Amino acid sequence: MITTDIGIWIGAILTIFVFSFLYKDNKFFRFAEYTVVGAAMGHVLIMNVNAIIQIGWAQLITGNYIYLIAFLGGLLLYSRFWKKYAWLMRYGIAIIIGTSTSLAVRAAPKAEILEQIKGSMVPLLVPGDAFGTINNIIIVVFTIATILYFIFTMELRPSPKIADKIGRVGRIGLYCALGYYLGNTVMTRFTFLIDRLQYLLLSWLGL
Amino acid sequence: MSRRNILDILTDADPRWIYLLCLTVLSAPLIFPVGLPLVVGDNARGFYTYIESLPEGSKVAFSWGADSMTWMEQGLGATVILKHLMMNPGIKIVAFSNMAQGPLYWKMTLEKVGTYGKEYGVDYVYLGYLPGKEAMFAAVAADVWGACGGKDAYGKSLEDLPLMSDIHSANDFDLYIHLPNGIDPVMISIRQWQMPYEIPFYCIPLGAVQSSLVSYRKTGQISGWIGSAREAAEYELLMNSPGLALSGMDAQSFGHIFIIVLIIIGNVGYFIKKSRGIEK
Repeated sequence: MITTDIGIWIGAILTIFVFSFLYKDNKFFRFAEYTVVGAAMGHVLIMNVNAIIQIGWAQLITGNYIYLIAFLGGLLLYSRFWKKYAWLMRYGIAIIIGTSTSLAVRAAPKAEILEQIKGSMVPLLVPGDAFGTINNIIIVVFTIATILYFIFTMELRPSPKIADKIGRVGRIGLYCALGYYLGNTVMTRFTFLIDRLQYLLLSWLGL
Repeated sequence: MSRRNILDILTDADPRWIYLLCLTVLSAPLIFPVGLPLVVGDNARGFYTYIESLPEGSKVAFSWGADSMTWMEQGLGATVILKHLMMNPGIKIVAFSNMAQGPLYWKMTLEKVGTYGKEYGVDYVYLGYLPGKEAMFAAVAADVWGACGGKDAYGKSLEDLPLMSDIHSANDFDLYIHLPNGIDPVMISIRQWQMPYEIPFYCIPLGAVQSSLVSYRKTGQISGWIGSAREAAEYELLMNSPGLALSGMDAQSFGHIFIIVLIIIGNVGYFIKKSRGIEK
C-alpha cells in the first residue's frame, strides 16, 4: 500500500525528477538538482558554524587563548573580499596547507611507500602452499612488468625487444586491474540504483 | 527487417532503451524475489569473526563518515556493523563523524538498529561532527577530549559520561572502524590512526574503492573490510539478520548479468560489422 508519509513522498518525487534526466534534460531534473545542492550546502554551513561555536569558541571564552591563532587564520581567509587586503588570505591558506601537509608527510613515507614496497617483496616459493607460490609469482612478475611499462625516459638496452615484451605483460596486468576496478564500479553504481528502486517500490509504493 | 538493421540496433541502440531495460531488469527481482544463493566470502567472515572475538569491555572507535553521496552503498555495511556492535553486550563504542551529514545518518541508523539495552554514556558515546579532515583525525587520535571540546554531540560534558573516563587517545581503543566516503579518508586513517598507534583497522569502503585497498590489507595496514552491498549482504547472512542488502542481491545479480549480455551483444555486433567491412 502506498505510504502516507509526506517525507517519503517528497523523496520519491525528487527521485523521479532526477531519473527524468535519463530521458532528456528538463526543468524537473534541474529543480531537483538545485534543491539537493542548496539543501546540502545549507546543512554543511550550519553544521560547520555549530562546530566552530562548540569546539572553538567555547574553548576560547574559557581562557584557552591558543584557539585565537585558529580564529585569526580563519578570519584572514575572508580578506579576499577586500582587494587591498586580499594578500592576507595567503597566511590563512598557508596555515591550513602547512598543517595538513606536515601531518600527512610525517606518516606518508612509511604508510604509503615503504610498507607498500615491503608488501611487494614476497618470496617466490611458499613451501607447502601451491596457491601462495602462484600468487606471489603473479605479484612479482606483474609488479616488475608494470613498472617497466611506465619507463619512458630511456630506451631499455641491451634488448629493447625484450623490454617491449615485458612491457606488454605489464599492460596485461593493467588490463586485469582495470577490469577489477570496472567490475567494482559497476557494482557500486548498481547498488546506488537499487537503493533508489527499493525506496520507490518498497518504501513509497509499498509493493 | 534486414540483417543490417538488426546489427545497427545491437550496436547503436538509443541509450534510453537500455536505461528502460536496466530499470526493468533491476525492478523485477525486487518485486518478485528469486532468492539466488549467496556464498559468504572471506572479507565478511573475517570482519564478523574479529568483532565476535573481541573480549568483554573492548572499546571500539567508530569514525562515522556517512555522506549522502555514498550512503546508498556504505549505509548497508554501516548499518549491519553497528547492529553487530550494539548486539554484543561487552563492546563499548565511541563514534564521531568527519562528514557534516554524519549526525543525521547516525541518528537514523541508531533508530533503525536499536541499542539492544546499551546505555548512552556508559556503553556508547557519539561525539558528533568534527570538522578538519586530516588534522581532525590526528587530533582525535592524540587527544579525544580536546578534539571535541570536551563535549559530546548533544552538548553533554564528557566528564558526565562514565565511558569517556577511560578514553583519552587512540591507545585506549581495541579496534578502529572507519566508514570512509572515498580513498583519501582511508589513507588518512592509516596515517593518523593505524600506523602511529598500531591499532587494528577495519573499514567499510565503497565497492568502487576497495580494489585500491587490497595492497594495504596485504601489508596489514588494513585488517579487513566489507566493501560492497554484496559483502554487507553476506554479513547480514552471517548475523541471520536479513536486511536491505540481502533483499537487493537478486537485483544486483540480474543487473550484472544484464551488463555482461550487453557487452557480449555490443562486441558480437562490432565484430560482425568489422568482418563485413562496415566498420574498421
